[in-house]
Amino acid sequence: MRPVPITAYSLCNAMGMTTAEVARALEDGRSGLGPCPPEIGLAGQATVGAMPGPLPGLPARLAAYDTRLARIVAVAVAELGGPLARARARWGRDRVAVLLGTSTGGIGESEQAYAHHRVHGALPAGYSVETSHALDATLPVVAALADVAGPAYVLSTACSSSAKVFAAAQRLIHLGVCDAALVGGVDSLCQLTIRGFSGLEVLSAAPCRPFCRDRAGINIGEGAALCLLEREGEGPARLLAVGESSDAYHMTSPHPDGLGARLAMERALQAAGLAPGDVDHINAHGTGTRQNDSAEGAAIAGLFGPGMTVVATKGYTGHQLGAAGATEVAFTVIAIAGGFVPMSVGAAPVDPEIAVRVTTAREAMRTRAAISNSFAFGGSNVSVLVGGPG
Amino acid sequence: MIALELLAVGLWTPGFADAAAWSSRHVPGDSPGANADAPRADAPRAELLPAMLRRRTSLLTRMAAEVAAQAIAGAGLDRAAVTVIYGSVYGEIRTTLDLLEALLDPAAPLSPTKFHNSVHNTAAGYVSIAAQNRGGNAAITAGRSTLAMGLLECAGLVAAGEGPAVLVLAEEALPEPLAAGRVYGPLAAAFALGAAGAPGVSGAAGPWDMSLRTCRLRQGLSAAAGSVGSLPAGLAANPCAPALQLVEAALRAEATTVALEPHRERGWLIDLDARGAAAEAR
Repeated sequence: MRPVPITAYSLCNAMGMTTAEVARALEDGRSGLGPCPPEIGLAGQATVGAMPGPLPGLPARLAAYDTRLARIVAVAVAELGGPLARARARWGRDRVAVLLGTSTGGIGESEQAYAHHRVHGALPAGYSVETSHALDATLPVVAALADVAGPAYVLSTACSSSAKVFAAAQRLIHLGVCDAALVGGVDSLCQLTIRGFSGLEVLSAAPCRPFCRDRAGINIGEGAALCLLEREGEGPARLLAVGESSDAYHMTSPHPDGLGARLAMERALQAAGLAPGDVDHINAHGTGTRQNDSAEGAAIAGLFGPGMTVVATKGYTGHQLGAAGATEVAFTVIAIAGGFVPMSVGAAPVDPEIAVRVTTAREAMRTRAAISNSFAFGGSNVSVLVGGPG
Repeated sequence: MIALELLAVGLWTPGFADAAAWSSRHVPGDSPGANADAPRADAPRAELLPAMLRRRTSLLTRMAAEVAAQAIAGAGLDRAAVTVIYGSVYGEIRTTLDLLEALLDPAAPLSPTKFHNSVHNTAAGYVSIAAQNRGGNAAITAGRSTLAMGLLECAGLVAAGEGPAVLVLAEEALPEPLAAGRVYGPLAAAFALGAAGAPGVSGAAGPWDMSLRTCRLRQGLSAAAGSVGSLPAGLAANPCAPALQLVEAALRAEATTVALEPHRERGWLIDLDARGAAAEAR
């Protein structure tokens, strides 16, 4: 399949409410992690990557879909008005697909609705499982705000969700059912994910430190990231290929040697016709748990050698789960366009048993191609290979 | 227009262990399920999953594993290599409801097993482990358009040269109080899809033999699709009900068109050629 130009992108997360704010924080090595905001109901109990500002409400015509999740993704869509108008004019609105990844959907609203039902014996007014809870409820919101009407679906494979969408979009463009795709991911903070990862004993009370000798687990984050992919066009980067694999090993633990992770990276290279030496840096999944980072480091060192430059960015945002994949692809685009590799916040001192070169400060780099990794429950692995504008 | 070969189907819904059982329910004057000769099934066998795991997973995961295995076997595919795409609207909703209940107690730790069994790709994970399949897979949803979008996802995989793909649609009953009066029974169906005209894949023998059944995806008026018979009342409201219509159409010999998005005036349709037409055309 041919490379697909990434003609525009936007993101919002704990680092900032706009793409410019997020990019500046990435260049400056400034983390967005902080205490859990009171509206999540776990105030003071966790370090998270929360949206740093108030979330504007949705237009009245979308009131039925008004959730924290929808509000977050609406912030990211709003920034892409210009590029979307150009894509609609060029391709037609029914030739622009919407492919989104989310793991939480509107579960935060369901938490509140269920608690309300327990007290009052009825669901709150305005709550509906179809428009508040369902993973696909974000589709009509994004399609309406973006004013596009192509094929639209959600991929939900936990923490690889919004990396998978890049593979699906490249295939749909190749298939010919669309000429452009608005792809990305969104997740919102809720009790289920924070307390769920706490139950798995992988939640860190302090800001997470991926690849650090002293790493002690993950923080949960929220946010949205979108990329506009077009059959032809000018942009800061190109989607070269995506490699997908399954560990076929365990629901939550990675294969100890990173077998599935290596397979995903190998398949991305193979699909793009590139060799390991053509890749200049890797945005690791790098969650900050002991076994995840060890397995990923082993997989990268095994395929690319111990000198490979690796950055982990979850120290900026927390683990945005369903939004992490697209966020880190966007970070990779920012790095390629800006001629740098970000600092891995919290990584120093790097674990000496991890045999790759983890950045501990921002480094200048002309990147020809970079890989963004995302791994998930169910042993789902995705490696997105991003190249320069070509 | 996108051409594919429908290689095999799978089906499970309470009372019907597979597509053959569903097919044999058609006795004039009988209501669905009244055929005493049809195999009965109150629980999916899901023999693809290890027995211990089967007892600990949801009906959704067991239904999905069962119909995936039916379609994979029916199409003669390698379960360790085939890509499986899982579509569901509410996914592991019963497990999710258990977690919502547990969250009401602020001091109670959440069950790690329930937590990881609540993700949309739970069945995808367990089946890939059981089948030792290191290929990609995905779990998708598009509300009532999940069947249509799942077929597009599979068509994309097939066109990309990833080989045949199996689409699984599975939907549990929606539990109260979240359901708020929406009542429907559980249903799972699977479709093995290959490249149009691709040789070398043979379907299983039997009344539900799908081998080399050419189908085409296109957009058009939903009303233009023919009716393939009404669905049982208990399944009509299931968001994956169009999948049962497609199974029904696939079981018949004649050419048929199925509306994949009957809730939309204009949406995706699938045309099925008459059985054997593809073989004759070659």
